[in-house]
Amino acid sequence: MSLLRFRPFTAGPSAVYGWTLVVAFLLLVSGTTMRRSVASLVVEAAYGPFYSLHSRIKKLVSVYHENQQLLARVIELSARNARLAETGRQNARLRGMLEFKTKSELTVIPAEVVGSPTGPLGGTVWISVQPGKLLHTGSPVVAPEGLVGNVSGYAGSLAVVRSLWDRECRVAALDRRSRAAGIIEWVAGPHLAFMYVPVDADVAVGDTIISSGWGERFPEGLRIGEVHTVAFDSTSFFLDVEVKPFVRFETLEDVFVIQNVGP
Amino acid sequence: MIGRLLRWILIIFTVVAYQGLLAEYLAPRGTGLRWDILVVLLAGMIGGTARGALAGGIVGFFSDCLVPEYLGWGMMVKATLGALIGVSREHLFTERLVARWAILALGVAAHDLVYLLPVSGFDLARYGYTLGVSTTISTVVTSTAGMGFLILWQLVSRTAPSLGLGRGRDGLHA
Repeated sequence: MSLLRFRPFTAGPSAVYGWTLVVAFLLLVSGTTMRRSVASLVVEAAYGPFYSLHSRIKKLVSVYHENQQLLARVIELSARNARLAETGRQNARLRGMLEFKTKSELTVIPAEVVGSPTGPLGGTVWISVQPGKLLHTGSPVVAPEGLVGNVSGYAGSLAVVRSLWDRECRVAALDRRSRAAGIIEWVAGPHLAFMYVPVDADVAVGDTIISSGWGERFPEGLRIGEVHTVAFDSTSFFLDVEVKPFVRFETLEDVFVIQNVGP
Repeated sequence: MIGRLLRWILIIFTVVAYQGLLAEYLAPRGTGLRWDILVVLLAGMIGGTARGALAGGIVGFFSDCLVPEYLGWGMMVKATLGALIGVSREHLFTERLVARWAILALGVAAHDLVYLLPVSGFDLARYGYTLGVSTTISTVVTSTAGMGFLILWQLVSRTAPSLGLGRGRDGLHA
């Protein structure tokens, strides 16, 4: 009975199903060209935007991964570049030390800074020399850039250096250009003081200050620093001269102890 | 009328979007969530025979466009599937979740059983392999996802009146 009531193309669910089957059958039996034309139209109109979006997303993901790889490569190359730059700096420093040692007529012992480098707030540097090398209290300590200070005590291969930033470290010095003489010592502030220079002395900003050798504590000609400021005080007999040391104490690594100096 | 039209457009949109964007990842080589079949099954189960058949026809048409050699065949199979699911909903006891899950699983398996035979060129080895691997996996995944959707549908239908979203009728027993 139910089969008799089946009205495929007139009404109800059967009609919907029936007409759908008819359309499907017509498509199925249509020619290949027809089917491809219909399919290409639908794919282009309906799927096209999604395929395009999909393609863009894939490209973005690809670019993201490529970017990650390149970023990793940049970091790797930066690290390698930093290592090479450090090697270059070390090479330059060692070449400078070698040159200094060759030029110097004095007997020097190479040493390595092991304690915290000094600064305006401190005055001592710990150094280490090769075992077996003889040290003397008061021996000058120099770096390729200039004078560091002198040895104030030692135990075995370790020595304490009283640097230019120590109030007890005074150096007889002179202006290399005008030969104006004075005493280098640290009083206060970020620079050294060139003391006891007469008011009529010819000292100018930029002049190089070297050790004079007077007093025989430091040999003559050791570079100390550059004149930073020169001030005249009408109530004083001396110029107020500030000197910026050549040695950068905060980055001090390798020094030399001069042996054959002393009274 | 416009509401119904929009609903159908939305259904087609989800099918096309899924096949254009996500199917490559969620159903590689047909082993995964087959959203097109699930839509037909859900339409039949929620809407009945007519909606199931219509959904099957439309979804089948859009799916067939990706394989133009068989344009019409998928439409025919899916329309039949949708109609049969609608008939089963109307004539079988489907209150229990297991029964619904079984109908969904049978639907996916039956679809592949019929649809793949000519598509595989009547190569029984290829046909058997596809049925054994792709269909098995996709049957489990798709029917389970369909169950989740049906449960969600029921929850929304029950809570809709209090939220002011609709009449709150469970379409499964309309």
